[in-house]
Parts: sequence; C-alpha cells; structure tokens
Amino acid sequence: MMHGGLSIFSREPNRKNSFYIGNMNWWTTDLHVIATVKDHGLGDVVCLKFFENRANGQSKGYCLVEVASESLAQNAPDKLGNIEIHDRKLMIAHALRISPHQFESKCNQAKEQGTTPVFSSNSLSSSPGQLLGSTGSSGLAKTSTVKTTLPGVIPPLPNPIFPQPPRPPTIPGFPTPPFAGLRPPGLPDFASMGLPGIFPPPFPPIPNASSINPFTSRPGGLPTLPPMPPAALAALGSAGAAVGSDVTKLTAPHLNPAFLQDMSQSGANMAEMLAHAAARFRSQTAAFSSMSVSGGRASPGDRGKSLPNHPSDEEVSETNQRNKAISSSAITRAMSDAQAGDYESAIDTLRMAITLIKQSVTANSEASQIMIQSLQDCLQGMEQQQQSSNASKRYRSSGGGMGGGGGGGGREHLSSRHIHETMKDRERDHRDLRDMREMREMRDIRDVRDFRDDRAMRSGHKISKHHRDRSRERRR
Amino acid sequence: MDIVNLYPLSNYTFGTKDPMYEKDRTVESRFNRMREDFEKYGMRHSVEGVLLVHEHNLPHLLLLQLGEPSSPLYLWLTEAPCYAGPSPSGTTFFKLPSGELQMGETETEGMLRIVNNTLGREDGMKTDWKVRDVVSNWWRPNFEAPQYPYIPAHCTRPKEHKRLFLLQLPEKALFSVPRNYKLVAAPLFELYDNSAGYGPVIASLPQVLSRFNFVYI
Repeated sequence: MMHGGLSIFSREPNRKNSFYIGNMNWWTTDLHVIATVKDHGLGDVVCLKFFENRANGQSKGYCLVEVASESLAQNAPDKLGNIEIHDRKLMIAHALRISPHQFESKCNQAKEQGTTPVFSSNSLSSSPGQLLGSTGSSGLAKTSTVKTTLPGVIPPLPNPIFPQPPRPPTIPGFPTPPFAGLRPPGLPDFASMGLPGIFPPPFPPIPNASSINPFTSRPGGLPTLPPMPPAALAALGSAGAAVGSDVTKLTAPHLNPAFLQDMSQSGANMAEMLAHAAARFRSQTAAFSSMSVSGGRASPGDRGKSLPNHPSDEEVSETNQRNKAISSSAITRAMSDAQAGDYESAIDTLRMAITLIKQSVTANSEASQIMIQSLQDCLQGMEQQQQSSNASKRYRSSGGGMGGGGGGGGREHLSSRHIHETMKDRERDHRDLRDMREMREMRDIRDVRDFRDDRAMRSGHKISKHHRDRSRERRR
Repeated sequence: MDIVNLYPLSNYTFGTKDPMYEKDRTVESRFNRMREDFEKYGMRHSVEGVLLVHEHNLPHLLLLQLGEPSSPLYLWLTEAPCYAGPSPSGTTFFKLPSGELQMGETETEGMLRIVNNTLGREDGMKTDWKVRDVVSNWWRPNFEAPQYPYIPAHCTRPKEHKRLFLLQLPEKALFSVPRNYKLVAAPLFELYDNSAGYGPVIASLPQVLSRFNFVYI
C-alpha cells in the first residue's frame, strides 16, 4: 500500500482520466479526497494534485483527481456531484471539459453566491467557505502593494509592505470582518478560520530601513577573512541588491509603443513610470560601474558613495506594480496574438516583458521570479505552438473523434453552460496537443494567464473582446 | 539553558579543497530524482547546518556562496526547487552546508557527515563540532520550489522535510572550503527581513536564533 500510496503524488494526473473536485475547505486533505472517491464507487485514485497558493501553501480548495479509466472519470459528476465533504457540497467537473482557471472561478462564484449556509459564530465549519469565497481569489493576492492604482493585479508577493489592500466584496448575510481598514496580507486566512473575534493583532509594518545595509556604509569595518578576497565581502554587502545585479548587462529597455498603450489602461502612468525606470536604472548602473558583484575588487569607499543596496519601499512597490502590469498585459496580448495565429509578435511581446522585469529594480524578488518564470513558460508554450500550428490541423481531425465522443457524454453534465463552439474547438486543439506532447506547461500557462485575466477583468482593465467573451462565458 | 558560545571569526582559519558538486546537475534531473526517491523511500529528509561566529558582539552566520555564476551548477541552483532568492543574472547565491540523510542514518550522524564533507579538514585531524538543537523545520508539499515552515493542512505527504541544526563550533578550527564555493560570514542584520536576498529559510534565521543566549567569547 505504501508503494501505491506514494506514487499517487509523484507525477501529474493524466487529464483524460481525471476530474476536478472543488469547493472544498482548505483543510480537506488528500486522504479525505481519496477515501471519498473510493467510497462512492470510483475506485482507487491513481494520481492526485492539489492547487494551492504559492505564497503560503494553503490549498485553494480544489484538486485534480485521476482515476483508473476515462469512464470512471465521466461518472464522477454523477457519483460525487451531490455529496459533501466537511459540510461543503463538492463541485465536480471532468478535466477535459474545463480547465483549472475556469474551475477556480467557478468555485469562487459558488461560494460568493452563498451556496454554503449563512455564517454564524456556531457554524465554524461553514464560515470559512464564505470568507474563503470572497478572499479565495484575493487569497492569492494576500500581499499587495502600497499604491492601489492597480487594484486587481496583485500576484503573490513576499514583500513585507502592509498597505491598504482592496476590500473583498461583502457577502450578503455575512457580517463584515472587524478589520475594515488596514488589512495585513496574512489576515484573510485567519478570517477564513471563522474566528473573527480572535484575529491576531495586525502585523506591525516592518520598515525596510534595516535592509539599507549598514554594512555598506562602514568604511573599513568589514569582518576579516584572511584568504577571502574583498570581493566576497563586497558581494556579501550587496547580497540581495537587485540593482547591482545587472551591472554586466545593461541596455535601456526597448519600449514598444503598442505595449505602452496597453499598459496605460492600468491606472498609473505607465509610460512615464517606465521612462523613469529606464532613466533611473541608467543612472544607478553608472554609479555601480566601478563595482562588480562577483569576482571583482571593490573598495568600501565606493560602496559608501553609491546607492543603497536595497531600493526604497516606494521604488520597490512601484517597480512591482509596473512589473505586474507588464507581465499581465504581455501575457494577455501574447495570448490574443496566439489565438489569432500571430505567434511571432506574441513571442516578441513575452520576450520583451521578461527582459523588462529582469532589468527592474526588484528583479530579485520572488514575485518577479514567479512572473519571469510564468512568462518564460508562456514563451515556451508559444514557441511550441508555433511549431505545431501546421500539425494542429492533422491533430484536430483525429482528435475531433475522441473529443466528440467525450463531448457528447460531457455535454449532459454541462448542458446548462453555453460554450462557444469555436472556443471548444480551440480547447480541444490545445488539449490534443497537450496529450500528444504531454505539455504540462500549457496548463500552467493557462492557470497563470487566465488567473491574470480574471484579475485584469475585475480591475477594469481593457482586455480584448475575445478574452472578455471567454471570461464572461466562464463567469455566467 | 540555551547558552551558546560564539567565538570571534578570527579564531578560525580557512583553507581550500577540491570542488564539491551537487548530485543533480540540472533542475529536471533534480526533480526526477526526487520523484523517484519519493516513490521508493518516501519523504526526503534533509539536514542543514547553522554555524555561528561573532564579530563586534553580533552573531554572524557562515554561508557558502556559490562561486561561478556561469556554471551550469549555478544556473541550476537558481532554478532549483529550494531556491527563492536573487535572480541568476550575476548576483550571488547563498546556501547552508546541507545534504540528504541516508537510509538508517540518524540526524546527528548525518549532520556531522555532511558538515565534515563540506567544510571538514583533509589533513586527518577531526574538527570537533557538536550538533545541538533543531532551530527550524521546513516542508516541501510538492515537487516544486516552495517550502513552508509548516505542512499545509491539505497535504498529508510532504515530499521533503528539511531540518536546520545549530552546530556548536570548537574554539578554534580550520575549515577547508571546496574550491567552487566561498565561505562568508553574514551578520544577522544582513539576513533579517531579507528573503529576497537569501530565501525564506535563511532569512528567517535571525528570528529563530533569537531564543538562544549567545556568549561572545
């Protein structure tokens, strides 16, 4: 049993035999899911993958379950559609019918509509769902930035700046949580525990002053390490200095005017900010030209004169906002280009976004890393898409038969949903490509892309009609 | 009785030895090996050593700094599952002396084996380090980068469990540092609130070490 038990987690579920289970509590474990699946006649779980917030590991309340065969997976909505785990009615969808982002928004929607009982201080088990619904999507956005000029665009950020995050919508019949004003990032999760009276006090804002490294301003008082070249110490002093990172590869970011137009929608004056960033970057790098980060020799005096290693709070948050805007609009634009078949410009857009973020002041932060990683994933997918765009027609005809059969069965379950025929076809294409090539990355791309779309939509960004329609279809 | 003696950095001397490379050369191979090991043996147990010295009455943490930004090892480490630090574009990467426990090995034995392999001297003399308390635990719920100092509620089978041990250094010692690393001493204020620079594991060490009563000898 040990063997079988562990192999469940060691790979990605095969979407053909899989279905999503959603609307679960964040504490519903994998073992609960496995037991439930077995108890309702679907047999053993072959593979299981939970979706969680990257920032803190908390479960998003839905998972992808692979069972032994496609027919079992098709039966899942029947067998599990009406049951509850921990007083939460489960939402089931076949993996080929629906994709993670759709499922996530579907789950959030259900919670917001109050499909769970009205909150009372007694029903602790149900209350998390309510709050979780409202904060489910902003749960990922637990850490937001100082200036809320981009209210909707908030990818996870470990940056300890605690400003006023946007308030989640209040749910009818649900008392507003005590912290109406300042709401430190970690709080949504405490709220979701359903113990509103026992909130821990808000985190004191941690000034970033400590990270303006005193180390750099001490003229000669560095710890002596006899065989160590001062470079090591210089590097130590500048560790985490995002600015110093790109001394070697400095080019002013090439600003695509089309890009700027997109980003001007996002509240802040993007073009101006970018220009500022470019100018500031150039001046900073000029200051650092005498200092090399790894392997060179830098005198403490230089470092004292040059800029602090850690950019100020404002700069950081500004940059983060900018980066988020860049990456979200890049992905949006790239996907719409890709849908239109224009892979070249999609790839260019993504590449440029990656470059811009890498060159930014906060390139070292985890958020930027995540953004860069997801952009690169998109890029990879895009390039593969481009290569296969000729082959896709062939896949389509062979995949059409498969998808058609599955579609017929699946459509009963989802008869109430309008699905654009064209979207369905494209979904099938993508699906087939994935299955044929086992491109797991595409799912992640869509996770990211559509999650960003969701947020973009909510924040009122202008996105292409195509995306808006798709989102509307999801939203219902 | 959590008294820890710290000695000045100048008490210690540093030499070099042959480069020490990690088992996995690429991100993918690291993931794959982790997945295979998980199926065979279950959760991976890793240990990392916290070695402290002092300067100016402030504890400093000994860190291994990766020395070759252009090497595949460096690039891999920055993409590695454990990595949550600075970008690879020329900045440095820091890690603690660490390794995986072998079958049947206790944590103490494993920790000593690993720290001797990493920093131990090669001239036959033994460095007298002592493994003291556990300072923190981190778990990895999936075969991915994120680790957390708790097991997320929905996860019953974390893929890796990492334990950090405080090591008591002898009063004087010689450390032999592999040629592909540099050994640096980071003051605690450098790490505090700096997970952008060092990752969440190392950046949280000032907090977890604060409970000790350090004696600056």
